[in-house]
Amino acid sequence: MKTAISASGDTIQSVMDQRFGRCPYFCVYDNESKEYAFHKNPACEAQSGAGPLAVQFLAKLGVEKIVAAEFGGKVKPVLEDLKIQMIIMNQEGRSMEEIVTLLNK
Amino acid sequence: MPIIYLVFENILTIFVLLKMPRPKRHRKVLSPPAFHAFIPSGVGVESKEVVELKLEEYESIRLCDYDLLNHAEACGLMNVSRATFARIYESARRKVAQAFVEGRVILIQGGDFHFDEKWWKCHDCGSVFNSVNKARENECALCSSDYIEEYSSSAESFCVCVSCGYLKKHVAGHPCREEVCPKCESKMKKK
Repeated sequence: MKTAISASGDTIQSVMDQRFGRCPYFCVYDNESKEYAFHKNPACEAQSGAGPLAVQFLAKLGVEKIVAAEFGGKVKPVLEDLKIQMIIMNQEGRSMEEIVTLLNK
Repeated sequence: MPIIYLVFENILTIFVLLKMPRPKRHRKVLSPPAFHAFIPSGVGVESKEVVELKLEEYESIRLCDYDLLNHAEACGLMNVSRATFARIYESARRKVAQAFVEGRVILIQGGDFHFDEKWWKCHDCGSVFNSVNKARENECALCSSDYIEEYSSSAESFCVCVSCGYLKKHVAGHPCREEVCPKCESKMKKK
């Protein structure tokens, strides 16, 4: 199962980004093959509707869970339709590494 | 048709005669916040009364000022009329302003609201998640811990006994004044 995490950088040490739609990178982790990949967020600089654009991008990658600090009002209905699970993680400074370890538990 | 009309009119008359307010429509909240309170720093907060911000009020500020939606879009998302939305938002802003100016703690809790799906909070990793897959509802989606708690979709209200103070969970549709205290069998009232 693939999980996307909103990241502020493209390394495993980078911390979580506080916003979902406009975070610069997504860390996509596959907990079956234990591999992770970083993808640049195509919606990062979008004028409006960044959230739904980002969701579509992640859905194409086959993501089933999204970890972020906050989900906007426009994102929620799209995620519901696609049956993607939302995980709200609102603790500042959590690195990708920590999240991946939690997912491995 | 006339019978239906009569029944309908009778219900309205009962509301008018008893001066009962119409039951509140539940406001839809998209997702709960992952924290419970805001605490100001640099002032002694223990002596001051806290400001209780209802979840629907938190949601109205989030939709309007964080997601930058207008009232028409936001009221649709919360499933209430525009006038009601404006009232909720107004009350939210006043509470936040009061807390800011007077340096009070803002507690986010309670209100008349519902979620579209179940939300859970994990006490081990501090995450909040919704359930998509019914089979995996008993463990945390992030850390697989089983120390999780369901977010109650509406704040629980209680009926209190007038003589012994016994608290009983309020059941919607059953007025507190018609309930009987299971301990001392005296009347109960709304807490």
